[in-house]
Amino acid sequence: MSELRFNPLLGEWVATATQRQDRTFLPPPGFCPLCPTKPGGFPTEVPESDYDIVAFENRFPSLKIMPGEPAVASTELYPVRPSQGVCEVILYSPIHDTTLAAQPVEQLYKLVKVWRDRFTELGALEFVKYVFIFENKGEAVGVTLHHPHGQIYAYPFVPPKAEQESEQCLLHMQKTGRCLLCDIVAEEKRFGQRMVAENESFAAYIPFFARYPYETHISAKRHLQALTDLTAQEERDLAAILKQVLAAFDRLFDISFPYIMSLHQRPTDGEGDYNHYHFHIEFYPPMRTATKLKFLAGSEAGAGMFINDTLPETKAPEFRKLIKPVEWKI
Amino acid sequence: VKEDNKSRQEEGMQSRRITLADGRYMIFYTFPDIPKNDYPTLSETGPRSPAETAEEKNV
Repeated sequence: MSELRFNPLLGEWVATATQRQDRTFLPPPGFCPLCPTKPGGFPTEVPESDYDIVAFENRFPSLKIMPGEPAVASTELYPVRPSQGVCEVILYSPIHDTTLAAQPVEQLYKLVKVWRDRFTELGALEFVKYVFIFENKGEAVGVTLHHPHGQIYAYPFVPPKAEQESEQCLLHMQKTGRCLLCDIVAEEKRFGQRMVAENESFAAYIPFFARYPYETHISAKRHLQALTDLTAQEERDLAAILKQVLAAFDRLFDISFPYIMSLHQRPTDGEGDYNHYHFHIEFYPPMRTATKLKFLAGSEAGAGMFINDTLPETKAPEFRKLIKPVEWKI
Repeated sequence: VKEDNKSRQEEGMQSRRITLADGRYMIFYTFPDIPKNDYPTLSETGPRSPAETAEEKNV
């Protein structure tokens, strides 16, 4: 049973997806449904192993290309609509015991190209207004399958956070004539202390307004709105800085570092060119020390105001020391 | 009319789409021009996840 219910208090849509209660939860070793099916083994979701990256429809989606009718009727107070959209899984590797951070930079380069392809195809669907590429990494952020993978949600509306960012970017451009993210990147580079890494095309930093101790943003230096705007060199540079940041995360506490990675691109709703918007990637790592997690508690969950127990000005230098050069083989 | 996404010919990337028994699509991406990696595993590159550090969750 799945539908979109409107929350009139916040002006937001909520998806119900009761079938997800039955999804596979931390299966024992040897029974990963995302590993390739082995001869004589139990049938997994992936029938072949000869690939670099795989994309497929989520078996337990909260949004469907052909959704059923809502189980409840829409009212004036409570609008309801079918949960139309697409939920994809992106497998980074056929190998189970690895992570995105452990991949060579060439694999990240391939992933950037696949992300771009999926954004193009899903964004072109008439009912898709926003393509959200993300990864939940680690049980600390709710991962139920350890096989290295990310996800894509193609929404039938522009989700609240993207809408809020876009509105703030538009206001800034109307007020100053400049791009907000371009100004943020320039300020972080000028100040310097919160910078983590950079190359010709991208800058990584823990922003002035970070909500998590190691919240890291990777922003394009050139003003562009989506992966589809990247040049070939920018694709390589994005792969390189992703590799540097991900590998440094693992070095922070000598663990496979949990995080949420979210790609912020322009909507695909056909409502303009979104020239005021600016492509960037945000990481929300839940760990505030090697043994302590940051939770969304009263102020964050109830009021929407985050409290960061640390300063970006002290965390960024600590993180920056762990950045290492990237070695390309191609 | 929906705006078309800007597209660019992806040199070197090949994709093959299949339909699974339950009707879902699956797309295999390969890059013949880029050597397959030796796919390092965690045991070669670093530790496993923090096993939730569940007992150490402190707000």
